Amino acid sequence: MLHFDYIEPTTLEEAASALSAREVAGRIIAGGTDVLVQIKEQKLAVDLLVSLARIPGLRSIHHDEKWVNVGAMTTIREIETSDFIRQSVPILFDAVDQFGSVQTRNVATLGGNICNASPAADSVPALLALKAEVTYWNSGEMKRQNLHQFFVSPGKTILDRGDILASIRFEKPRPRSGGAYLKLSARNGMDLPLLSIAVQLQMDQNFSCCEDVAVALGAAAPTPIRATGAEKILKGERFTEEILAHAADRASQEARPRDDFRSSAEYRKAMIRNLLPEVVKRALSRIRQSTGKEA
Amino acid sequence: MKRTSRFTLNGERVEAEVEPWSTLLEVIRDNFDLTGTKEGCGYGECGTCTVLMDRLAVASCLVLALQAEGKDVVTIEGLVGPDGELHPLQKAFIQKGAIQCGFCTPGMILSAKALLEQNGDPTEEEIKKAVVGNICRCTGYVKIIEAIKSASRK
Repeated sequence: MLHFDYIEPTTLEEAASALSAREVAGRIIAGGTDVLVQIKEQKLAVDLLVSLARIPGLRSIHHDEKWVNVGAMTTIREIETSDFIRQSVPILFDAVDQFGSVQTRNVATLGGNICNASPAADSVPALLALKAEVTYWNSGEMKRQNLHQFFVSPGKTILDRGDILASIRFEKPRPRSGGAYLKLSARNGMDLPLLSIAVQLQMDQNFSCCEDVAVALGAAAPTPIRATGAEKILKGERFTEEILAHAADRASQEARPRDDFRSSAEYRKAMIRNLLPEVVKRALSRIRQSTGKEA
Repeated sequence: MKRTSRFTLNGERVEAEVEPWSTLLEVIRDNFDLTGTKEGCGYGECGTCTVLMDRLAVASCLVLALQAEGKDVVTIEGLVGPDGELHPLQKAFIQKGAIQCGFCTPGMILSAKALLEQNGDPTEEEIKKAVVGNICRCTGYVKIIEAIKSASRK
């Protein structure tokens, strides 16, 4: 049955030191909605859970002229109920809005969702499309890494024992930009996506073509990925049905999904082809709404 | 080795001797004999273990008792008034026929209470979203949603 010790250190150094101790199998507990399930399912054996709850400075949403900064211990619910996020970063709002259930969101953290590194994690494609960076504690100092270089394989990030994710940041979306996250799943809640697509794009000054774009896919590869081939097709172009279809086709080829109990690889690829244009259109419609311009 | 968790339970300050791995659900039921909170799955998916912690609905099977330290916990037993009068949500569930076996009911009512405290006049969509983490095997949810809607107008 369950058998482990539990501590609540008050500094990152204390936490890192407890996690790195060789004789003790220690793991971070953030919210606990993933790690406790894994322990109960006996997929994870730990001697010690190290909570980050009492380390100050890890739980907040800040923004300035250029950056939006979210602390790793910020709960999904806090992000969902942030007026700033809903209005200024709707792609991230989409991602947290359909995440689990209220009970999950009240406890689960952004850092936990990222570090649990499910290929289907809801927050990640949106953050990839925002070109997010993570800051993590490693060997006594803070280091920074692009989120798209953070994931190694299902359930695994570049973090070692003793490393602690501290915060996530991305540039505030610029004028003439908009984004959307689409989650395809059997239920409207309490379900991981069988496929998810995130698009963040910026129009040029004339609102005629795409100045910049990022496309990310979830549950479509061993880790969440950017569909950089699809991005190249869209960048600099007008959003015609032809170009959207071409980009969607490319994205479905870039994806490396597998067959699992939620869906087949073939269906996932087909849905990327069908739905990427839809997500682009949602992003465009948000740009229209926020600028009043025909995008 | 046993530790102590000190928190507020239904308005009363309490202390519990717990193991580090004890969940809040186990402590509510076994240490305090409050069996209105149920274990349906143990994995945070069914909602029968829902309690309010600092006014937020949480799955108590996935909260360690030590994580509840210093928090304000409310179970279904905490909704009844000091004179024994049922909470408007409890009355609404009874009036609308929203209870069959009753197993999901405590969790449903607490999720609804958390919703109504945030949003006193929710739409049907908002009600559905609030209880998406509470599964009912018996009723088909229609009466539950009607009950929450009727309680919201009071």
